[in-house]
Amino acid sequence: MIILPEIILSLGFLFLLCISPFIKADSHKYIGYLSLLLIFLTQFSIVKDIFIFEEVFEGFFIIDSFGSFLKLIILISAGLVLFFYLIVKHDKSLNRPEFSLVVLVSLIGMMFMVSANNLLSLFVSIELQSLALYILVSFSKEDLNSSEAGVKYFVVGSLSTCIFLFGSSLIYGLVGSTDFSSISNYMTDQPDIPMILIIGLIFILVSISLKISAAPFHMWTPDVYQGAPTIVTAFISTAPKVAVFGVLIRLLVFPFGEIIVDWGKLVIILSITSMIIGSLGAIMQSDIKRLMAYSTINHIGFMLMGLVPGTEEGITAISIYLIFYLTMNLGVFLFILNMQRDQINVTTIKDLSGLYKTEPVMAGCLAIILFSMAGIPPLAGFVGKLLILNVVVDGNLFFLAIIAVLTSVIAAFYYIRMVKSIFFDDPTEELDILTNNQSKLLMILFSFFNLTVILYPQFFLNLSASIALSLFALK
Amino acid sequence: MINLPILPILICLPLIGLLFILLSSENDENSIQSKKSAIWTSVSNFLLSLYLPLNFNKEIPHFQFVNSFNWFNSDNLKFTLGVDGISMPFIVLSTFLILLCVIYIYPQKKKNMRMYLASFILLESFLVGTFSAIDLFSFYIFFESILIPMYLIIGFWGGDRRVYSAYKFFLYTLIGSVLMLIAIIFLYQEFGTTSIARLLDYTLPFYIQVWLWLAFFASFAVKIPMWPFHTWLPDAHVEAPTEGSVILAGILLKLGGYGFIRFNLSFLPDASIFFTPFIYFLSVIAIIYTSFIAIVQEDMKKLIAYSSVAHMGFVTLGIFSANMQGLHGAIVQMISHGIISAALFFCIGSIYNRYKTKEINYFGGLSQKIPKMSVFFLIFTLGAIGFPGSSGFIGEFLTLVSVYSRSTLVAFISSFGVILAATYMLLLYKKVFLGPINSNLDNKVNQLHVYETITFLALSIMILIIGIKPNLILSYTTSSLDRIVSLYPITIF
Repeated sequence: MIILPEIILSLGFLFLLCISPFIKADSHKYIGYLSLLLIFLTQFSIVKDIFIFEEVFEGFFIIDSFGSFLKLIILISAGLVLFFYLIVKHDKSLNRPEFSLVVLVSLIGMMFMVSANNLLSLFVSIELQSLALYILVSFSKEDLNSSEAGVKYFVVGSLSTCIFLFGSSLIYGLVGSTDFSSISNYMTDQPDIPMILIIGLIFILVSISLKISAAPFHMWTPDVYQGAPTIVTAFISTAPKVAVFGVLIRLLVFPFGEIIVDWGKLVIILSITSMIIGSLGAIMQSDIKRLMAYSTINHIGFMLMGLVPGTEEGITAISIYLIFYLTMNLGVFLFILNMQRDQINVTTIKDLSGLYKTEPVMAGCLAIILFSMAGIPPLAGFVGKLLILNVVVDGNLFFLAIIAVLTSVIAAFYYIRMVKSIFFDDPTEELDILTNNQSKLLMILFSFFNLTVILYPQFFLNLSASIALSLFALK
Repeated sequence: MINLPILPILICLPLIGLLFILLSSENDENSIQSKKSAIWTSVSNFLLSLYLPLNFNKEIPHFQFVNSFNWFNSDNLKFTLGVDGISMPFIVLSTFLILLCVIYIYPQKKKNMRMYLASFILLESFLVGTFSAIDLFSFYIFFESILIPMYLIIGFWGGDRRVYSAYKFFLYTLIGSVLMLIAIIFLYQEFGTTSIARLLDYTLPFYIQVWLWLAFFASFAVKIPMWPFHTWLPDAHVEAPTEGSVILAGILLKLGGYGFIRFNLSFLPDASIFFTPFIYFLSVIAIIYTSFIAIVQEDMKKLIAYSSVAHMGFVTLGIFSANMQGLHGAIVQMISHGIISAALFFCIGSIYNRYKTKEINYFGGLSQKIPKMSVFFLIFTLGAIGFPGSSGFIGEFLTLVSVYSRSTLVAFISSFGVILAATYMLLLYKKVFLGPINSNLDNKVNQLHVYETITFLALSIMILIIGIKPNLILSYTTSSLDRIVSLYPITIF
């Protein structure tokens, strides 16, 4: 049996937990760097066994390259967020060793999530992840907004939990097992699928939509994104989204792949509403964090679209889109983290005005990332959108493709509105000059990545194609 | 003959120049360094682009100078560049106009001059890319990329309402072209290739052609622009800086006409025949209606902008007449409008630089103030009217001949456009340059400085050369157009 990377991460976490009280000064820094090291080690153990396919713990978990790939992305983005945490100045309340530790716990949950092969193990790992995130969102104890966001997130999350449990119990009642392969076998044996199973699936789908913030289950997203400390927003908009998307893909493709006709329609509805709400909702926003929440909803809608045909190409496209989405999102949030005026963090679009005068390089980098988010060629966002649209048109879903491109034009409006603030508006009050060289370097790297992806798209296609293949091997 | 990979060089050279411009010193007075880099880049790019007409084989209807790069590791989806007789003149036009723009910018002072020059040089790379891409996806990528530098040019260096105009330009164009993206993906899925040369061999059922035609139409009709999709153009022109207007009118509008020939007409013949009356209808309205609007304009730039819409009406008429005269007329009209409208915008820019206004009523008797310019402006005005001997005449004449062979009525109505063009252009000339000197103007006599003279001289020579010997362009295009013309029967109606 191979050593699970999750075990390494868990043991490392326990070790860090034990030593954290004994570090006197700057403990959050030491624990942070040690956590980064731990994440790196875990990644190494994943890369070592990336092509292994095995069911472990009596089929409770499954190790395959799809899961390993997602774990890698999750760990990389979480590692980057932790790195942001270490290099950027924060509110004092965030400077506690627990921050990195809670991030690690949620990482453990996410890694279990993407390798879960049983409704029960899936449920437990989603809970592990979510509980850690509730804590993170309300981490700034003195900040009322943060606490409010935490409560909101918790209430909605618990609701999602209940709905998930209800759906699984329906399926368990029918199939007599919570194992994914048993569910799949049950459906292949059954000549017609009982309605109850589909209702169970709908419940699970709703619960996952709540987690992934797909409209019309998105209501919590803007509030939580705005209320949470920015570093936490950066985290919850990246790694957990990948994990939940991984769960969604695994669930829909493997155990419920038989009833694609039924869930396909639901995913179409989710995707269309997400794209519309994600693009219209952001138009009037003045806060960048809130705007990013809607932008996330829009991107999620776009990715969901790739799932509808249920093909390998679709999964490939989604995986690539996820990678690009992460680089864009992390880039924007890294910038927001560094937006300060007189040492105080500011987050409105107005604060961006005239940025090109004080920080020409950063302004250029941010503009590239924003244009990329809008999906303007030749940037990365366009490649992602192109691949997804390709899949959609291949599935003859023309109305979906047309809605997608029209909403992306609307979405382009608010991205270029930010570009407008950066370049065209005269500065009212200038932001503090960015002295953080690591942040600058990272921003340049992110924008460079977005700029040059068009030259080597095949690398990502090959990577993701092999991953999607491993997912379909189960069928 | 050495076999140069000329098209990749033409695309990459500006990018290298861009690097020099961006790295040039920031505190340099008048940003001489970056201006010099820009001049060197655009001069060498223009000279290199002359390699194309000199080595072009006029007998071959297919794509020449083809360079293909692996992109998605698939034989069907490659990054392919090449030119045929249709696209070649536009590449030379692009490098020529960008060069003139950079020369024209040289003596000026502007905020953030480095970025301004960088945007134009970047634009040059994208423009050459768009005209030389012979793969659907690479075409789309270049076509859309143009939005970014143009958005910045209008929004950053434009007039008072620049932000609104920049938005309008960006969103209008984007919404048209995303529909084209779906059509492109559909073609790829249907035939498994995106090579334009290979797609020409396939035919599609009529009802699919109609949808694809509409998708491509949405993109190019906004770009060219046709009535009623033209409303972004006057705003963008009025607010854009002089050089921005020049590129916008000179080249960007031509992308629409080029796209119509390359895609709608070549791929979708049945739908093109089906929609010809529709196009004629819109074009005639564009010619007559926007000419009337042009007459009452009070802003010089707006007047030229509306006249552009009218002139582009002739282009669409010529293209969808789908016979040799029509296509020839359309191409000459596009090239000549590219030169003439660019020239007019340069002139208006020069006037604006001296008097800080573009109001027509502010002026009068300007010929006594800037005598040299009044001569040039007259040449350009006559070109815009379509005076025999100027390039404008060839375009309009050929177009009207071809339309006459399709429909007498349409030809009859649209020929009024020529008269209306004379009305608004001559009125403009009379109000601004002739008559007594307006009391608003001071007593100083202004001279053209040398950079302006170079620009105007180059443009007027081009107008006359094309007007006297249009075969310079037409001899290149004939063999490539033969194939398209053969798709269309003699009588459409």
